[in-house]
Amino acid sequence: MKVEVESRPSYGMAVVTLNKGETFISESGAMVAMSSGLSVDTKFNGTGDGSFMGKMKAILVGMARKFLAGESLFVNHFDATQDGQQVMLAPSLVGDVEKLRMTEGRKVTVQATSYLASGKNIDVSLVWGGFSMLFGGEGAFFLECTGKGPLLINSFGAIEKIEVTGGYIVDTGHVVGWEGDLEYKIRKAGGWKSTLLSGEGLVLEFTGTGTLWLQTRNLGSFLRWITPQLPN
Amino acid sequence: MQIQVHHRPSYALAEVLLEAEETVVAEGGAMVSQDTHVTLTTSASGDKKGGMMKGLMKGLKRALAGESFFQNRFTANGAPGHVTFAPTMQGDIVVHEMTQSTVMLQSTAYLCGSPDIVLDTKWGGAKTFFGGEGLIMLKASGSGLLAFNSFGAIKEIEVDGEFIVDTGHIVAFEDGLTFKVTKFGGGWKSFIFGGEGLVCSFSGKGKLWIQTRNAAGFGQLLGSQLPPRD
Amino acid sequence: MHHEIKNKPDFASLHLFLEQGEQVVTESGAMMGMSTSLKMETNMKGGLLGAAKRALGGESLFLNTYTAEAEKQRLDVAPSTPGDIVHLPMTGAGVMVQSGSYLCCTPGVTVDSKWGGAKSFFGGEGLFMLKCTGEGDMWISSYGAIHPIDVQGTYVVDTSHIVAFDETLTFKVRSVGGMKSLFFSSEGLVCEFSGHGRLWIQTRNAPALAGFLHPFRRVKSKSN
Repeated sequence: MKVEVESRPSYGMAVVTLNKGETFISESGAMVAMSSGLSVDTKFNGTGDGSFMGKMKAILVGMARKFLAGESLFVNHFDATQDGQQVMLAPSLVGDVEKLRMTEGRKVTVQATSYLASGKNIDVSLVWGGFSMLFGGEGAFFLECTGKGPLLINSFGAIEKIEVTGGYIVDTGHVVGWEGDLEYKIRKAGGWKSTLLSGEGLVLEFTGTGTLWLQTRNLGSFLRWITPQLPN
Repeated sequence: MQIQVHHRPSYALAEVLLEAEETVVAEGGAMVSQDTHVTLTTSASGDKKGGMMKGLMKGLKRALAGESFFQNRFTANGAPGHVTFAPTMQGDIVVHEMTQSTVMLQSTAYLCGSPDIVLDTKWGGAKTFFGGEGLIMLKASGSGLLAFNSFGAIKEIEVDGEFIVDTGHIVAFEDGLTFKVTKFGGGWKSFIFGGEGLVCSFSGKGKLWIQTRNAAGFGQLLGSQLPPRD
Repeated sequence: MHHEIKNKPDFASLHLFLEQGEQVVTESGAMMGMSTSLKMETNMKGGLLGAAKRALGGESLFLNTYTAEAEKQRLDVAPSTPGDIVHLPMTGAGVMVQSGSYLCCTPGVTVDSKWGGAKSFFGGEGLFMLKCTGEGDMWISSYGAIHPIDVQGTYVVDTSHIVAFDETLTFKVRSVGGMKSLFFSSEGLVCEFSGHGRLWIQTRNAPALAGFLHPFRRVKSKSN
């Protein structure tokens, strides 16, 4: 199996080459092009050995459906019936795609909308981030990814990697994911006046040591920018 | 005429360099900037043989294709001049040299080109690709330069055998390829839930240009989060 | 303070590194990330009237001032629009900046929305041109890539593609080609620049994107 990412950072697309018997899993709607020797099966959010929702209570599954409106709960399994089969995968939003090599013991947490695709031995579980996260406006669901093999994440904008040593504050709409020994706390950007007027809203304050992946655009700000220009 | 493309692949801009009295034809609304002595005349005709009525009909057909009604003609008067064009969506531009050849082009991909290139919206396969989404495949024939654009980056693929592409990611392909439009995954479950809709299976030998983003998918994702309209 | 612009022109991000006591002003909502000893204050720059005028311009009402309260503070800034960022060193001469393109500046730069030609550029779009003067640094953003043009004589630009221009250029806004062309040609207003100076244009325009997205919006339900 070979996984390469092209057209970074503006229109990242993953090109996956599979040999006979190998499988790759992607979110639905991500297929750009593929060789004819791949068989496709569509499954209800199953990755690895479990489903996205495996660890969640039923009541939260209902909320997940509502808040993940942009994220389908179906995934496509691509199985190669011959050697040298290619599948090209891309997200709907414009921006970057990053490949992470997952190994035993590594855990990466990403925004729910940032999952693009992964190898068969990657486990992805949907995690509820807590009610305070809802008011960040960006959705309160994260995906915890573990296992072995390739994991592909996408962003709105380019991905910037920041090494945190001590602390760092991030606008919630710019978070793609993180790993390491990091704790986070959601809080207002400044005092109440600042929160209302500054346009910053809520921020995540990370403390500890680890890696943060940020995206250089914020979907909420982008929508607020284009909305006054829409015809009526 | 020369066409230079800047800022690939993210927000490509086509800069057309015209000799004195030379004309370039472009889709309506694409002009960004120009030398002052380049004059704009608007013509509904993409075909220099047609009269006014025939030209209007071609324009109407292009409107149905999702491409702007009219094409604009820009001519450098009295001296060489330049004019720049940009497409609606962010993405790439490719300039393809045609020599009495034919290229099929997704309707919103047409940007600009030599006046000797004729666009046809009525050929047999025009409507098969996009399932009534308002897009069709244009047939561009003739000689000269043709600039087409994409949503996302453009990737050129040399097809030799068989290759399958989600129809929303097709930008253009050479006439020599045969194609068949089918449902994704071959079964109803994948067609409905797989998120892809229609795919096109190309066979033979020839060039295919695909784009790394799908405008309808992008539009739907954002549209669902924008305030509703009347 | 030193700065770095990354991911140009795709989704450009501005990274500022401030020493203790240094300040920078940004449009509201532009903060992506920051070190923990940066103090953020929100002000209506230019007084209430100035702020209100900026609001009409499509630029947000408020500006944020960040002050470094310790050494080596980092501020990551990102605009709302997919596109580019360019650094303009300000040395006293004025630069006109499209209101949606103002991103960030040092406190010595003055941003004025009240000057004479401010509203003549954009028809009904609610955008106008800000006049920026003073000394220091300014950063502007765009929708699309920023394409610089050295005007020597005259040059014509579709107004929705203007990002900024030197105040040494004179300008005249007109409709393109005459009546027939305006109706059919899909080009609206153009600006004819003359003189010698720099002009920055953007390679995409917002009205075209808005037009593309409009049909994808949900339709309001008729029942109340």
